[in-house]
Amino acid sequence: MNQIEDLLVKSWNNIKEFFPNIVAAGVILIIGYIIGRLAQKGIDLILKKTGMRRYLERVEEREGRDIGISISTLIGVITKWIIYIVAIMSAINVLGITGLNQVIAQLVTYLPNIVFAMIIIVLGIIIGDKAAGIVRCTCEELKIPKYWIMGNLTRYIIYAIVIIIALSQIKIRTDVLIIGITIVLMALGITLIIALKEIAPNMAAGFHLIHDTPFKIGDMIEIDGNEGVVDNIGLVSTTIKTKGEKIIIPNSKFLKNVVKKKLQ
Amino acid sequence: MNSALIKKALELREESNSDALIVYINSKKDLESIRSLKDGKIIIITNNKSLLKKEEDFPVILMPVELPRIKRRIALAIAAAIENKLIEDGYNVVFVENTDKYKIISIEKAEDGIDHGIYRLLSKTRDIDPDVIYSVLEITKELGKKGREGEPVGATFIIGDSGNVMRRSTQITYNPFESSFINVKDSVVKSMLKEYSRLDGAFIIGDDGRVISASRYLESGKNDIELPKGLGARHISAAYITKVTDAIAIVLSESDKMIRIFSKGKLVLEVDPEEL
Repeated sequence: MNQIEDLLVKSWNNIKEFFPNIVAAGVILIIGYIIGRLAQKGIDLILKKTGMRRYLERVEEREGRDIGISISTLIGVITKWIIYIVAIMSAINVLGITGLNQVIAQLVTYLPNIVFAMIIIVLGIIIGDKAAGIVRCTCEELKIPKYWIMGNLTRYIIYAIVIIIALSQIKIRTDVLIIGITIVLMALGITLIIALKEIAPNMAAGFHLIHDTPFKIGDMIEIDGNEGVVDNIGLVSTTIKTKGEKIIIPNSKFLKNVVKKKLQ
Repeated sequence: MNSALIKKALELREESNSDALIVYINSKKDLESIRSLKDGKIIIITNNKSLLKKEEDFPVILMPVELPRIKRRIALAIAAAIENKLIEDGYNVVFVENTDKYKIISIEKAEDGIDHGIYRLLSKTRDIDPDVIYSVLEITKELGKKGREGEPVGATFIIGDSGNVMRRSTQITYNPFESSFINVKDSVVKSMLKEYSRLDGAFIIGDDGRVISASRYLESGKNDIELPKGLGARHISAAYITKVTDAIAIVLSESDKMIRIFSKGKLVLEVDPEEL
């Protein structure tokens, strides 16, 4: 009997000693909860007021993405949870449970990285979208067909870079990813260089033919002893049609050789 | 090939007392499996040029365009078989399709009509890309059905041999397609051409589909051109230009809303857009 009584008294003393800590922890949790909710609302308001939210929504809509949650709400939710975690950690700190404390301490030192990664992703989406728009408009102005491919190419290259920066920010090893993307980009570059070695001079001449129009489709011209009607002027080559023949001439020829244009 | 599909089709041919079996395929594997059946009454239609080798047992016919709508695909496949004298008007035909998109069996009645003319037009053009003709036909069809902003419009498209066509025509107003690379095969271009159809004059389209010019005044004449009575300047000039060049002309009439196609100065096809 005595032993049990002893035990009860001991635990009661423990609880009495511990009680203010529990109350403090509870208060911290409640304050953390309130601040978290307020922060989420505040961020929503800031995104709305600065017009960022509308912009992000428009980007998402155009990309046809449907992940159920928009980026702007995601930012709010993550911020809220960061504050919750900080509150929980301080509560545990007050209670003095050391093992848990260390884990959460690590988590907290990690938090700024998550915040930065988030900011980088948001900025990356906006920059990628703007850059794609600029490239697309330029291509459209130059009347290059399938202009959206160029725009999207720019967009996804920027997205890839942004994802790498964001991942390295949250300390996930990105070496493999960087190597992979570098290889892809290099392969693309080498192919382009090989392809353009022959094509580039012709394309430059093609731009001249199309925009300065020394001759038009339907004109009768003579070049290198070939006389015929211009049937088509492409970026790389030009087709002239003689009686029963179609002659395809690389555009660079028109810069090097004398072209005779017949006047009707 | 889905062997169950072809087996069912063969059964269906017997049961429905049909005269022919038309199979629409695109892969070499399918062709092999059909060849192994040793059935002489199968007609093969394909988009794949590499299947067009010497076939002793089976007639293999090339479909020059890839058609998005199933109804049209069946109709043109039947037209192709008629053109190659494998079936005739009024035959009962079992149609089987086994491509990436569809697996279909249906019983059809062969009809020698508009589609025969369209198939002939698409398969007989040497220089002009068949897809271009089909795209322009689609644009004309929509213009004919709906008009522009509810009002009937007329339009003239001259396709192919663009150098000679440009020599024999003059610009009425500023050419909106000057030094551009806009192609009729691009679906975005449809609405663009519809808008420009308000301009007077003809559209000139290259044999690769590039829109070279709009609002073009065509040189005209009347030597040896025989047209049905009642067709006006639009049709005469279109017919004349196809006579003196290698181009073909697709004309939408503003007055009777019919689509007429000219080649070598002759009216080769007359279609009501509602039936197309």
